Amino acid sequence: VSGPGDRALGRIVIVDDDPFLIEQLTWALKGRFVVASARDATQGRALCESDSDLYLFDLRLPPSNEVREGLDLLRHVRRRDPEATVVMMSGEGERAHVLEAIALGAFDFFRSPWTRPSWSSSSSAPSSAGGSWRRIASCGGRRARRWDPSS
Amino acid sequence: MAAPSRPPSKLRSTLDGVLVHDIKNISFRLRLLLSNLEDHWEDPEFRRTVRELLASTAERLETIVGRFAAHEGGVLIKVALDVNGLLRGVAERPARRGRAARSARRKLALGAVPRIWGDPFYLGDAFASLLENAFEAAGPEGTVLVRSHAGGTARRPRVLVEIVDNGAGMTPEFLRDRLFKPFETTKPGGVGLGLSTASQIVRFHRGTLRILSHPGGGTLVRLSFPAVAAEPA
Repeated sequence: VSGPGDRALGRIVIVDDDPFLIEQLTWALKGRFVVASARDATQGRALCESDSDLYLFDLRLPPSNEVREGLDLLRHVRRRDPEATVVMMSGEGERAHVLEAIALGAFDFFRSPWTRPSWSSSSSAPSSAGGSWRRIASCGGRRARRWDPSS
Repeated sequence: MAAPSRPPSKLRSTLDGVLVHDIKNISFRLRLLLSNLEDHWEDPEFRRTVRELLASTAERLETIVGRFAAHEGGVLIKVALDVNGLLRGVAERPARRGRAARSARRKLALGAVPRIWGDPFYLGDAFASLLENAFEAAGPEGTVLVRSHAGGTARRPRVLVEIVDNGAGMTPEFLRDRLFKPFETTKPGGVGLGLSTASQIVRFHRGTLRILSHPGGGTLVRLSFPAVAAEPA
């Protein structure tokens, strides 16, 4: 739920079946993003009906726990908004899935586990996700500028 | 009477795959937690989430260790096994931690059967997995029936075990494409390992596992094992 003070914040949609992971991501993004989260693809799809600055999806999601759930969500969001920035997460990192996600327009693909995510950090600690994030943050466009932590 | 058998290498590799998957997820959680500690430790609400995450993670690790300890060594020790005794023991066990309570009605119909060459530990695990599936499918109002009877021929006697539930059943597509694949599950929070592992354990006993199911019509799991003849398989 957004309050008046949240106007300067970006909106991020996170869809992951692990509630503890969602909770920690929410803490990591506190003060930078308003987080809308869901634990399965069906609820996730409903959240994606409102515009967001960023989308973070796990690859395998309920209800089927198949990789296609995450990819379908990515496809859905990109069809709705061809400029949407979608980042996929997966502990598996199967090459075929990564390539498919990128072909569908995923901005990037995090192979979890990552080290300290750079969006939550004022330092420039190098990390696997940090590299991805810096590229996201430097990609230009209104969305990137809105939530670039260095801006 | 006991005879070591070949190591179930495929079973181990399936378990290893699941181990990697689970540990990556745990590592992901902990890394993120670590990155948040510095910024949010002063916030009591954050400290509450830390406690909950650590408790949940410890429980998950214990589950992984339990799963692996159960298959330590990777060697089957087959003995001339009384299948009925094993089924009775497994059916009377309470549900494992984290699994649905076994509230469905249970019926045992165990006929006179010859012994089979089997590893009571592995086979007990496979039976337990199949029973857990049946109890979960049947739900609190349903019934789970476990029966055994002799089959095969006089020259090649077999022991047949059936686990039947009157739950929701499965679609032909699910049965064909996903049922036996590791990581495939329709259960919230499930890892989808039970049936894939159970089926491998049955194969290591020269047994077969068949499933008959249709939506709305419940599920029948039929296992068949060669009875003790001259030497262990």
